[in-house]
Amino acid sequence: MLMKEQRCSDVASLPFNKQLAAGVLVFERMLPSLIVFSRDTGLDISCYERAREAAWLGLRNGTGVAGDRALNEECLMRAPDTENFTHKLTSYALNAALAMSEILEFSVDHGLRHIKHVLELATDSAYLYAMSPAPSFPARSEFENRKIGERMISEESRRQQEDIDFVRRLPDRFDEDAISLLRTRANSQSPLLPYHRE
Amino acid sequence: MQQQFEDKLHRFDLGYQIEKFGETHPEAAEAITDTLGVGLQIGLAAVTEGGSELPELAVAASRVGEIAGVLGKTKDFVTIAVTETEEGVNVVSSSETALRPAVQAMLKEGEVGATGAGHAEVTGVNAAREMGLTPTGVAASRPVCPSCAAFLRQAGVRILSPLKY
Repeated sequence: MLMKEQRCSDVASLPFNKQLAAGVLVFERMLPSLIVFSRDTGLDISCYERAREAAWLGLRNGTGVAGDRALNEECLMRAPDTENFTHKLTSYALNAALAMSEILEFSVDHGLRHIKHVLELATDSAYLYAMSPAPSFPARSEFENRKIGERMISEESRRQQEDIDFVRRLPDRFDEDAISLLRTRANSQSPLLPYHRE
Repeated sequence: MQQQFEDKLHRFDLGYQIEKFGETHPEAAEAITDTLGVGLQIGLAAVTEGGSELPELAVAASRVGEIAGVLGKTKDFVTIAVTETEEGVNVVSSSETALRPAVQAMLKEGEVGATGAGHAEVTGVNAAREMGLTPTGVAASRPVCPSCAAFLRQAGVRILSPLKY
């Protein structure tokens, strides 16, 4: 079984709140790109911050994210279009924005495809980062780029698998201790993209 | 000839018509778009029209819609372009610095991926030239913006999909 299929199968076997937790952990790793992008371009990311808080509250209450279609529409509306921005983090900011939208939709319809898409958006970011021109790698061939991209996808895939394994071990109903463990994990993980390379 | 193409695309741009429909029926319009894919809509419109050049439009537009279709929600924020060349090779590019893995996986024999910053249409034409190919036409998964349209006309490359209004 491919690693991607394994992850999808593993996340499918989790109850709703744990699937949501896995998605939120991955989103938290993607969020720094959106924050830096917002700081540089002035993009208003308050809707993502509100959605993030709602997601954590939903995990705590065991209710999912307070279903708010208007908030999701705002998240989609504010997602940066790759034709309108030239900032180097545009794609990663877009992926983080869309990941939050997927989390909101997952909370409404419980469709596993949304969480799978969150995982895919994260691996896309890793791949695009590896493929982007970087001063430290001025003369990389396409073959070298591809190899680096595969390695970064592999690394992010491993982290996603660890997230899934982590939430599986939590109690089925998230108590204060479980939320605290989730928060600690979210806050202590390194961002999806290694900014020191930029 | 280019003007005729563009006139037909404006009149038979189902993507535009669905967008207008979506102003009053957003969920129905979204369902239609998700099911058909914008490129396929353009292709169907072209085939229905039945002009002599239109099957060519249908092929390019359908293909770009097919490729963009694997992007899910992302396709509303990222443009994919297919640049046809005299040599028969199609160059696939995007409005991101590189093609996403799902798009890479869609490439088939006779198609090559292109990387580069900027709009997909310009990246595709420039990449084709860098490969020693002669670009002849470009279809994009989202309406072609005025600056790309101007670039393509200047380059003598036909626009094979709708323009942005």
